[in-house]
Amino acid sequence: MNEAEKRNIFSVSTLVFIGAALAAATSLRASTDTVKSESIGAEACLACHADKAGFKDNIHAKAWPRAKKISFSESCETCHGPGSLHAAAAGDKTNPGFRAILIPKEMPPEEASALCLKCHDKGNQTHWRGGVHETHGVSCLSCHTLHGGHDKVLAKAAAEEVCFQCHKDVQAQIKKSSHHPIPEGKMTCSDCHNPHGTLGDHLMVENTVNDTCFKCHAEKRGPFLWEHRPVAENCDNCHTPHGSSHGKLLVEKVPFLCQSCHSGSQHPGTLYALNPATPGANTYQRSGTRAIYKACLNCHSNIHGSNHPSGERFTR
Amino acid sequence: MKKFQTLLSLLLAALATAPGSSWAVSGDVTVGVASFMGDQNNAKFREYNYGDGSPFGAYTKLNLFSAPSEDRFYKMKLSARTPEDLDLGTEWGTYGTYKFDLGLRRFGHNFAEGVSTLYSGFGTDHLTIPNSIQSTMQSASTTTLPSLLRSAVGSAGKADLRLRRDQADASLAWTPKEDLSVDVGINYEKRLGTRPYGATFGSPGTTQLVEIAEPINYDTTRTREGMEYTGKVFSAGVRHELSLFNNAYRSVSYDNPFRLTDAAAAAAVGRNALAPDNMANHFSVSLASKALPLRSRLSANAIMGLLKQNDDLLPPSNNTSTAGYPYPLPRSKAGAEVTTGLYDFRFTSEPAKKLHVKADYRYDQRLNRTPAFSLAAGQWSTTDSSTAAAVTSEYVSSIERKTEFETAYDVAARTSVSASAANIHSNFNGGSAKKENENIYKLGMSTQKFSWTTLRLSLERSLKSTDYPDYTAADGELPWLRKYYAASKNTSRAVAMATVDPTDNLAASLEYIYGVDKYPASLFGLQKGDHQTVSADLDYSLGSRVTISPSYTFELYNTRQESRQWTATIGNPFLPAYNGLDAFGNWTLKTQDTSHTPALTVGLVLIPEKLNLKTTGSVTKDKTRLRFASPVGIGGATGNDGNAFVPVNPNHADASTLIALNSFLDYKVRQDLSLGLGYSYQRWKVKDDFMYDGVTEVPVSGSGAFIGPLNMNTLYKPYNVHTVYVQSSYRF
Repeated sequence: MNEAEKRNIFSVSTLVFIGAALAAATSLRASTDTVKSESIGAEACLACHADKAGFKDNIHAKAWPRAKKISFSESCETCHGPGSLHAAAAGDKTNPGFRAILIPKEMPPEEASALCLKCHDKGNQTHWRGGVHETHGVSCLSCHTLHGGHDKVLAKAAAEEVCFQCHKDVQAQIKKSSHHPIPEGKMTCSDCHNPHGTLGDHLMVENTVNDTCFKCHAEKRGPFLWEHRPVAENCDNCHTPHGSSHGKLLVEKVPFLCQSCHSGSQHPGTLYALNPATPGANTYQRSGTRAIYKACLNCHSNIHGSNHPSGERFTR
Repeated sequence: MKKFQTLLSLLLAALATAPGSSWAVSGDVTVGVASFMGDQNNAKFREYNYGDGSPFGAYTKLNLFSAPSEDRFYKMKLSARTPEDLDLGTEWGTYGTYKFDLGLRRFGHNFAEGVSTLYSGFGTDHLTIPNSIQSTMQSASTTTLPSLLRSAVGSAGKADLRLRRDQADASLAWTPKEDLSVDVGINYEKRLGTRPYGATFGSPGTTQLVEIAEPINYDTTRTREGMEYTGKVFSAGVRHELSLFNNAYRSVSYDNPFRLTDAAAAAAVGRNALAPDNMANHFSVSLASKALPLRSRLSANAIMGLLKQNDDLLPPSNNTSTAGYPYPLPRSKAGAEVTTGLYDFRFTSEPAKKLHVKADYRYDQRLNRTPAFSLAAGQWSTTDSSTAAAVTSEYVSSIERKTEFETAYDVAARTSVSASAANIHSNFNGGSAKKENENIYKLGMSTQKFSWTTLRLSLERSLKSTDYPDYTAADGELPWLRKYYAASKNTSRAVAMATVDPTDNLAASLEYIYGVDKYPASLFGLQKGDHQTVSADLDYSLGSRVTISPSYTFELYNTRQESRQWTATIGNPFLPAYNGLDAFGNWTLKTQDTSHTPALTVGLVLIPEKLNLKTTGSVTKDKTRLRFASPVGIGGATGNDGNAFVPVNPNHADASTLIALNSFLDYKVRQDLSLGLGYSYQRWKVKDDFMYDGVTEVPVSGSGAFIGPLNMNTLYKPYNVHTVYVQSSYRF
């Protein structure tokens, strides 16, 4: 056999091999393309995943038949997708069909959330898309539990434990001496915040910080005859709502908080440090009389606004 | 227990909305008794409770669940600690169709216990002192007044200052059709009691100053009604919220302990306005298009509000000795009204694979329509004496326009980066600044690249400029009133969060937050504030019987502010620098708040499925440092310097330590019955040179003169309380 004949044979063999390989690949792709996963029903899922049988008591399983016309048999595949290929793999992780199922906790956060948003795209969840939690990679599953028992977020007593998984600073702040009654179980994070997204800032349940505060503190709402501008603008100008070492959840100790604005007008501008002229005397006697006890609030009690004709200085 | 179950079943059957149902009940009940040793009557210890501070208490918790049919449910939860502290909630409905909630709550807020007061009539709007005391104090000299006051206070009655909150709410969430939902609810709260309140009698200074009990009798009613249609192509919703606040007391009047008869400098009876009745009404409409390509969504929201307050006005003064009494009012009612309008348009989309965009425009206006309230010269009385200066109220209206654009891109599997830019432009009518412009830039990164780790980073930079003028003598405001919230401000903020759980028995998280606000155009007032927070925690399981969870948070807040002392002896308070030094009228304050919060939780399984011990403890240690600086006046002359001395910094300011420890031993007698024994310890210590050092009901100067205020010493006191409790829980 001469060189030309050998080259011919090699070329033909190569072509045949390539053709066979292409045919096999095409055949395989065709077989995969044409073999789509189909629904198998929850009973089939539970044959392997018996530990998820408790889903029958989940609110989704209870509500879907009436609200969405989805029976329990269809419930697993409503979120996880058709399961025939996954079931056919029979636990063999090397089988490509094994991964032909949606596993939300392994999906990118926005894709996992999209499963929930198919139904929960209204009411409190209306503004999830584009919200701060979604933007920072938080998904529904970061906080909510569908399988394996009790959803902590929906239980008022335990809701803040979920928030504190990330918001450690707030977890410490509510332990300070001046705090909202969250540790006492009278309030929870969702009384002020809607973690699903809002129109306003800081995920407040109402449109502004002030409107949220006024839900419980309506006596501060006014509008007053004499308005104290920082109050009307934003309660956060003076208060820190999660917890403070200063009384009344103030951001700074009085009178120095007041002096951060009232920086030179008559007695507010006085230097309320200790006077060294009378050593041995107590602080009452060494500091200005307007810095002791409750400082400015000794006189200016209606600090949030006054309805008294003589209340321009909030003393009435 | 069988009888208890039967009783509950009968109770639930009475509430059944469909006859012929099966009312199998499940749930759990816990009852316990507790013994308190130490300062159990301390108001701070009982701050958010409403118990009577007795050494014994009982509590119960009950959770019930019943499913009368496959698609119907009934739940109830009850938590009661004392007769005055309870939380009852019940809900029932049909899954996927409706849910009705009903709740009742009662709890308290304690301010002070066993305080001495000269006043009678606590809890009402008229507080009186016997004429004999008023007469004695009026005729007392400055040297005898303190001892007379101490004698009167020493033999005075005692009182507690606290209030009780009673809340009731009901709501219905109804889905008549798959794409239609209705939500209605009503909430009512009654607050009744008293709280500390500072009150004056006119003349400036603290010698005509007392602490009284503000009467609290509030009713707040909130209602909401909403309907939302959510179809495949679009959704639409309407909603209405109403809030009504009513105060049974328009004012509180209080006898002057220092005077029986009116004098020009001070009245014999003081009178303060209390929180006025008010109303807030909000109506909102929303529309969203859902059938846009590229997973886009366009939504529009409009929320319109009306706030009103129109109480009758009090007389400017009830001091008959002041010239010009009685003073006419320009109008008899407040006539206060504010309208609000929030309009938001938001577009989100995924124009390309892994790319998300958001555009948002928000228009937010707050218009104060209250007619200006003016008192002419000679009429204005804020100190029970007429003054030559007229005064007119000032109200601020604002319009804010916010435009924001944000984009996020998935750079890798479960890893995304985001960037946003926003502009907020505001215009004001009234107030200090006429306009503000703020640009906000944000960067963020979030990754869960590996299933056992999460990392989130965010950076923010904000530049706000306003036309708030700097100091001129003619700017019409009180000299050197520098409102930092209206001033130009530059903000930087960084947040980093990381969690790792490399194994099934170990998880750790770390968080760091840094933020700084600078006020570049503010020569006075707040000039800078910065804060840092570091938090770390760990969850570790040693086998299946031991879990340990330590955590620690450190916070640091710094501020810097500058003020200028105003002295009447100097015509122009804008004092020049002297000898190259800062003007001696200036002083600077730097504050530093630090907070350390270590905590630990340990869980032990002593006998598997039988005996468990859980101990939780935390310590919160806070402290404020105040550092003053001020150059001393020329020659130390007080005429040139209101405080002609080198200031001494206090040793203590808001320095407190709160220790909380709870240990609970749980013994499972059988699957449905357990017994528990618990021990709890709480301690709170506080040191504050300004508020606690030397405080008495009758404060005096170094020379023995009364300096005021005459107070009830209502500051929260330290406490130390040990609690032992036993409880039994039954599951059925």
